[in-house]
Amino acid sequence: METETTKNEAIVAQEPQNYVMIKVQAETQAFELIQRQAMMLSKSTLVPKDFAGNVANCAIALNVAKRTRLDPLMVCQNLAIIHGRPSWSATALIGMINASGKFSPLRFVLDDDDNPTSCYAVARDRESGEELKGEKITLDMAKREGWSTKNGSKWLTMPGQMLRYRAASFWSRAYASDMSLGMYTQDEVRDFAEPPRNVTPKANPFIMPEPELEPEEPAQEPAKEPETIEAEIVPEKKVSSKKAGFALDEMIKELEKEVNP
Amino acid sequence: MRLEHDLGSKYYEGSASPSNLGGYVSKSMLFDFAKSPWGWKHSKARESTPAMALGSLVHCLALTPKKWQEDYAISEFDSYRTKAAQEWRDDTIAKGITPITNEQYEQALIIADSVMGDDDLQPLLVAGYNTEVAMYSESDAINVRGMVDIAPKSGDCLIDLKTISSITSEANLVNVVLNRGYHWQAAMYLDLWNAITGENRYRFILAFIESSAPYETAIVDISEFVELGRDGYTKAISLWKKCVSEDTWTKTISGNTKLKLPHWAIKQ
Repeated sequence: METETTKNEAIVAQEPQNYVMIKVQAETQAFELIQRQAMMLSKSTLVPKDFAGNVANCAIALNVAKRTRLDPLMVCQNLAIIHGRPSWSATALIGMINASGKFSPLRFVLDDDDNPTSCYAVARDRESGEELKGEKITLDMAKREGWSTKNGSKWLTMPGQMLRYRAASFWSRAYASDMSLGMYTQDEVRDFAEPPRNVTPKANPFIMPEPELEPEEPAQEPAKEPETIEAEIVPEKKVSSKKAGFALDEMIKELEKEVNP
Repeated sequence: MRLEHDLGSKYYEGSASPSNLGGYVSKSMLFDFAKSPWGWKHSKARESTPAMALGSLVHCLALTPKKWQEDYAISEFDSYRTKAAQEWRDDTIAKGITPITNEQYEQALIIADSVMGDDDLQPLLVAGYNTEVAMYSESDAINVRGMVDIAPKSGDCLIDLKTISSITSEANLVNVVLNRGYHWQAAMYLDLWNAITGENRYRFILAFIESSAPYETAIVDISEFVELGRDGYTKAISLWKKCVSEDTWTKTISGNTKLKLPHWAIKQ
């Protein structure tokens, strides 16, 4: 009985270790698998330039595909790197919301069909039946935020479409942020984000840097005579690792057995 | 390193030029040079355009109103068709004085008064100010100089006057600043000023004024452009040092360059 208890305790003690090992192994296998898939995807001629030949980007796309349950090729086609940020195309985002089954298809309410100046998106939660109304986007807002004043802005040439796209992305962030994984749409990134720039300030070139002064030597205090401590001299004892409770060798051997049974 | 006042046209003596590579470099010289060192080295002295002449006169009347007659003389003649008029004009130019018409003088005076009396500019000048302050220093063993139009006696800014054909929008002014290298000027002048005086001014104000009636003004702060400008002018100084020491003057496009077809052209 006593032996049985000791055995069980040993199993229980080993379990967390096994669990960690299994988890590490599973993660390694998953990583290797995604790497192989990414390698294959990156060699395809069907993927856009951000992913062609770029295994790392393809691995991210595969990860996103897994999380959003979308086809990896669709993710590659609709995920673009703008100013260094991954971002969705607005059409893909609308498609994802409509295909989710959680909501009724997204609808857009314009103030004027021919010359719209404002728009909001609306959909119904299928489970609760609640109407989910998004933020109203206006051309005035686009101007004040500086979206429409950028060079080549589509807000000036196709305001209706831009109003719908922006309304959809605002709606998705409010009610379905899990689908977009917190990413912005490509139009938004173009409108919001500044291209990355070097923010490290340069020094004034007309000011010569002061020469580094050698550290002053501290004034030397007169050396004190070391205090003498009288102590009993104890002969050194060898402490075995086992006795000290550090059975490291055994632990390593156990681990090796686990990995290579 | 030094500041100098009341130099007038003497300030422009000893500038670096294709025939005087040891002269002082300035912002406008560096900006031209950096576009194409080869082009700059083989260029001739830029001739003054009517717009430049009006700008100089406005500067003179706005910043050194008591001294304008040292540099300008109003013609008594309606035109320079007569022999007497031509003789007067040539004689005036020979003395280093620019002949102007009364009409030009009156126009420049209105412009100068409009900008100096501007409601948005006035608060910056209440503590008093110095005008046309020349700054001399060196960077990387290159002699550099600049002349700030208005240096308020206290505060955190330097001010420069700019005449412009028309003020249409903020975006238009941004383009003007970047295309004419005013951000280089802002960075270089602030750096020169701070290095010489030991102050820490960080704002650069451009006082734009239209060169035609009704002479609208715009007082803009381009401090946000300073870092970019510093990057530009310091790189230009390094390039200048390299070109002068090696006597090699790079072209805008060097070597046998393969042009890349732009994306928009493929779409067409």
